[in-house]
Amino acid sequence: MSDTKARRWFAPQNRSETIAGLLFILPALVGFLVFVAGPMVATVVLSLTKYDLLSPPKFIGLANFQRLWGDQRLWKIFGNTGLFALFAVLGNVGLGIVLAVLLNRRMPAPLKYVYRAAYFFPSLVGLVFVAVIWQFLFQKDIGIINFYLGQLGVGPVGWLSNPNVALVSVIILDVWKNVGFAMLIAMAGLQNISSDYYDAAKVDGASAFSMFWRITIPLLSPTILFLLTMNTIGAFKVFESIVVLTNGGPGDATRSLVMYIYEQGFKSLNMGYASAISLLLLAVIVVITALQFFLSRRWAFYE
Amino acid sequence: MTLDRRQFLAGGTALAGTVGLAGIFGLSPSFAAAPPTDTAAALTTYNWGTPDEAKAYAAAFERFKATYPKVTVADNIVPISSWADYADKLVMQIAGGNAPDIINIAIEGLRLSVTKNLLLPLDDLINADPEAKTLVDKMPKQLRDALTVNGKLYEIPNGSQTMVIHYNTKIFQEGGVEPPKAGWTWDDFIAAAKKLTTGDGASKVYGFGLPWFNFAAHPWWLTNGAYPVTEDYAHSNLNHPKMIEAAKFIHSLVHEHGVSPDPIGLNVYDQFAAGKFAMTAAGRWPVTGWVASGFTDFDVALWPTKTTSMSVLGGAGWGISPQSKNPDLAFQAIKELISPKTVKELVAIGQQVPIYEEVAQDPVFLSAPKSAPVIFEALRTARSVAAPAYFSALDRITQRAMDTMIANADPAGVEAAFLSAHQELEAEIANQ
Repeated sequence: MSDTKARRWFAPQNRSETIAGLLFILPALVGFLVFVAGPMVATVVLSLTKYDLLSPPKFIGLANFQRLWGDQRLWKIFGNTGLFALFAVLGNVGLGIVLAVLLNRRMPAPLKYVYRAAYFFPSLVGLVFVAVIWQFLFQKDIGIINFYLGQLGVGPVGWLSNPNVALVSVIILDVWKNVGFAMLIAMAGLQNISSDYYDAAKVDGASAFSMFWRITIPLLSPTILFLLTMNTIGAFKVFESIVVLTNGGPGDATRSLVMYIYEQGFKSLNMGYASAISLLLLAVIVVITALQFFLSRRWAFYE
Repeated sequence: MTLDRRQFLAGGTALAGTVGLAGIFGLSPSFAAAPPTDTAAALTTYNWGTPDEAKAYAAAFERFKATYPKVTVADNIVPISSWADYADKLVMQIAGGNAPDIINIAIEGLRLSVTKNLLLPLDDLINADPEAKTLVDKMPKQLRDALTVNGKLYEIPNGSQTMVIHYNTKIFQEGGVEPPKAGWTWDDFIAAAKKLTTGDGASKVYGFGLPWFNFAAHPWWLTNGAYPVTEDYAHSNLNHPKMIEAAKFIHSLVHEHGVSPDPIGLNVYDQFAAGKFAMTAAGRWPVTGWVASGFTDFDVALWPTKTTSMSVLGGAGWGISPQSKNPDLAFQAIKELISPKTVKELVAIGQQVPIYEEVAQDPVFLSAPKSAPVIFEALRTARSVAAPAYFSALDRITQRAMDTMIANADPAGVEAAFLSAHQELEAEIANQ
């Protein structure tokens, strides 16, 4: 900001407006400083300490970061989180777009509302209630899914107790719960696409798939980028979907990074180490988000 | 009929045949250490319980306020998912500079609290108050011992739990199996469970619904002469051959004998009430819910024995924070919380096993199940749940080992899971 500009802002005739403007942004600014910037600075500082919450923090340099590399549980959990993020994002965004396109077709309005409500409804239901139902559905020996699979001659699947399958169950729950929201966003994006493009394509004899691939997807790409970015960040921060369904088990098969941070910080009282893992998670999210934006230059199309 | 504290004390002393005690200890309302009744103060609690239990506590605090009208009590009922979580939240609250005066915490959180200096030893306060001392002396010794660290009592018991076998009397009768008798063994248990595992598909009934949490696993360790930590609480004992043997037995219930379904994600108590299991294991806590839902075809038996006849003892107590500005006043409030009237009200709600034998003989406690005294009886041979200062780590590491072992049908995986858990726990202890 130049001195001239600053002088202009605080010139007597503008001062009251400037003060009013500052007062308007003050709540947001205070909220940002107290709940975002402050904790972030504290996390960086705490990551250099050994701190159990009840005794004063002790400076230990980079020891917490050195510990990261030797922590085998952390890397297993890191892998879980990465896999969850990959498949949950693909499921939510991919299926969300497919559902949005299907519902964007001509059909009786009441039917459209029923479908839309049906797909969006899981997003409105409390996760804890949902998890109780899904636990019952997924139960290996008396669960409903395995009962019907048994009728088809498929042996019981350890949806929650098989370490190789449990993460799949978590992803199924997450997609079932959140796909409706992605669908709504995608539908909003679809409604911004002019029907002229489709009319012109029809005149040229384009197939439905061709119109989807060459018109819908390119013109929806800003919405897809938004969905990918938000879902990826959300997936790396996953906590409650897993806690309520498997609590991270069996073993560490479904534990996520945020669950591990919580465990280290608030159960083992290793607040310093938890802070170091938090910074690692922050770095991963920043890199992936930056990568998404960088790569989006090649495929995101803005009219 | 309701008992107030003094009636209870009089009745209790008469039962004990020590009427003279009343005179010796002066059971008149003389509060030697009690602050003046016009003291003005504000007390806060760190408490847990159901809404009904919260009402019973509120009533107790009202009675306390009848004596101390200028004292306010903020009873903070904290949501609880596990004892480890509950203790962790207390640590967070105190770390945040918001220490409560009165703390209701289970055995599981005791040693952590003592290590972190979150609880005041109560012996001096109790010894200075004959009425309180008489009440505390009436409580089962096992419970008092469980809340004692290095010879000092840090909490006054307020309720207890143990684990017994609950069995469906109808399924036993229809299956032609004799109800469990005192002294029955693991082999007897397996034989009954096998015989009562019947049907297929939707009509399948399992012999035993396996509750899947740390406290519920304890009786298997204990009846095999094992304990998850060493006697001095300093080290993990998860690698002990007796622990692994008991874990293999649990594993065999699902994978070898097929008498229990996979326990992960299973609500055993609902399924037991639905007649899907011939047996399950619990303390008293599900009984009221079962009866209220119309399920009454059940009774209880002591845990089957392998090498030792034993069960696990859980429980909670009232403690006082060293940071409390009014410990004497907090102690007076606690006296009302452990009064026979309050205890009886809590027992009537149905969660707790009473801390006084007299209350355990009350019709309210005896109303269900038929052999309800067995639940109180189990306390006498029970050993405290393993609750070292690193309980939070022990709890989650053991649970992960159990999850890992049950997910693997190969019994060899049991030993691997527990040896790995032992190493992890030792590392965690060293890191603390």
